[in-house]
Amino acid sequence: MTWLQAMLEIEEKIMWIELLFFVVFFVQIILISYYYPKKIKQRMDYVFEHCPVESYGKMYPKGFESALKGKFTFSLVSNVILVLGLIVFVAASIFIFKGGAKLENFNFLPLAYGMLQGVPFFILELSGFKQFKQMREANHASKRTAELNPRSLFTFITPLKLASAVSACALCIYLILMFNDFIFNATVITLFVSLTLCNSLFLGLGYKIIHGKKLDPHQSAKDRHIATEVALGSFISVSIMVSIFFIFNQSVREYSLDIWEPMFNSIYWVLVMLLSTGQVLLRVKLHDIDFDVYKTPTPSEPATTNK
Amino acid sequence: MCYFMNIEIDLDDPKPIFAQLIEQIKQAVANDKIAPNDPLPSIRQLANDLEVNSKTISKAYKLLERDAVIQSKGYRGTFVHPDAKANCQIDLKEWVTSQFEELITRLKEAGVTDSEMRLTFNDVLTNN
Repeated sequence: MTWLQAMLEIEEKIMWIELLFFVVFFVQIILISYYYPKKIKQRMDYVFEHCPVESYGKMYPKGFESALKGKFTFSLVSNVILVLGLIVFVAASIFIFKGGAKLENFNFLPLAYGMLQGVPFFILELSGFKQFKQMREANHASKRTAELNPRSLFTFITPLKLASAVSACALCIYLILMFNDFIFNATVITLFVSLTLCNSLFLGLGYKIIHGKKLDPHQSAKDRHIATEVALGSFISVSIMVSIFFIFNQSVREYSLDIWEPMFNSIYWVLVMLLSTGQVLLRVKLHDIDFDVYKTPTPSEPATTNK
Repeated sequence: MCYFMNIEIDLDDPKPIFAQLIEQIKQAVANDKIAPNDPLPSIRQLANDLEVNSKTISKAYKLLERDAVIQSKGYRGTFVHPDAKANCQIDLKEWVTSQFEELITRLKEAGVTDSEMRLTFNDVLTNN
């Protein structure tokens, strides 16, 4: 056996792609089910500490206990998903490295687990909407304020960003058609419908955020501007990611990249979270938020104002 | 661009909402908080933000446009009029009052009674 043959044999045994997949999958588990929930819980603690219910009553329309319960639920669901992820990680690695299964059979794993990882964030988002609704119902302020500057899409994002998303979508459509010999078969139609639905959702949400009614009745104009900017930025990024995902999904079949698919799916999910939740956590600084708008007015103060 | 010029209305104020809006936009122009040719929010945006009927905002905008404080440029939106600052100084109500005072004095001198004036005023206003 030559030196080269021996090296090749060792390399085959190491299973580099499998190893890389498990590194990326581990990052996915830790980042989405440990790091981000930890950051969010820290933010909740900051708000609970700096904005006590006695002085900032408007922030807790259903009382402080309800807010604590929300934090506990988020924490519990995140932890359960984290433990589940680690069990799946260990089981899958034993299974693959012992030769019980091939990596390409696990391509569903990062996406299926990723969907599960999204559950606590979805619960958080829903409870946020519910809280804003309760805030609006409890808001009996006679004074109302509005910005005297117009809002449009380009107030919040650059034309270049929008052009990037549109180009990615156009490229995705072209490549899907090219990979299918420009024939509108069931696969092409399914992909086009998914792409259209996904981008329509972003367009609808974006329109609602820019032109719709204020969700948080007390939010200051500056905070609303930052929140809108971050939300629209993440919609654009995720839209680009969806196009890239569809392109890769088709490339896997075309170029026989099956073994890379699980790793790409995992990277995809990590990037989606980095560009959505990650951006929100990075750009919306708690120290910069105007919490005074949530203060309970003292009996001597006049009716409160929504800024 | 990221300025946050706010206007505030008070629902409990006896002054109508459209009048509060007109007053505040005029104040913003007079105090240089908004400059000539600055864009203004759309009627729908302002109505949504203030949670009032869009007809109220539309009424305020129409009156401001009549006074040449703002100007509508079709699909491009509404902007502050180039001569808005000078036009803000004109108090239309004061001018109307002085015109009526002058007219009523002349009519009284001619012997026209109050009820004749009221009836004629209503007739003229209805027919115009």
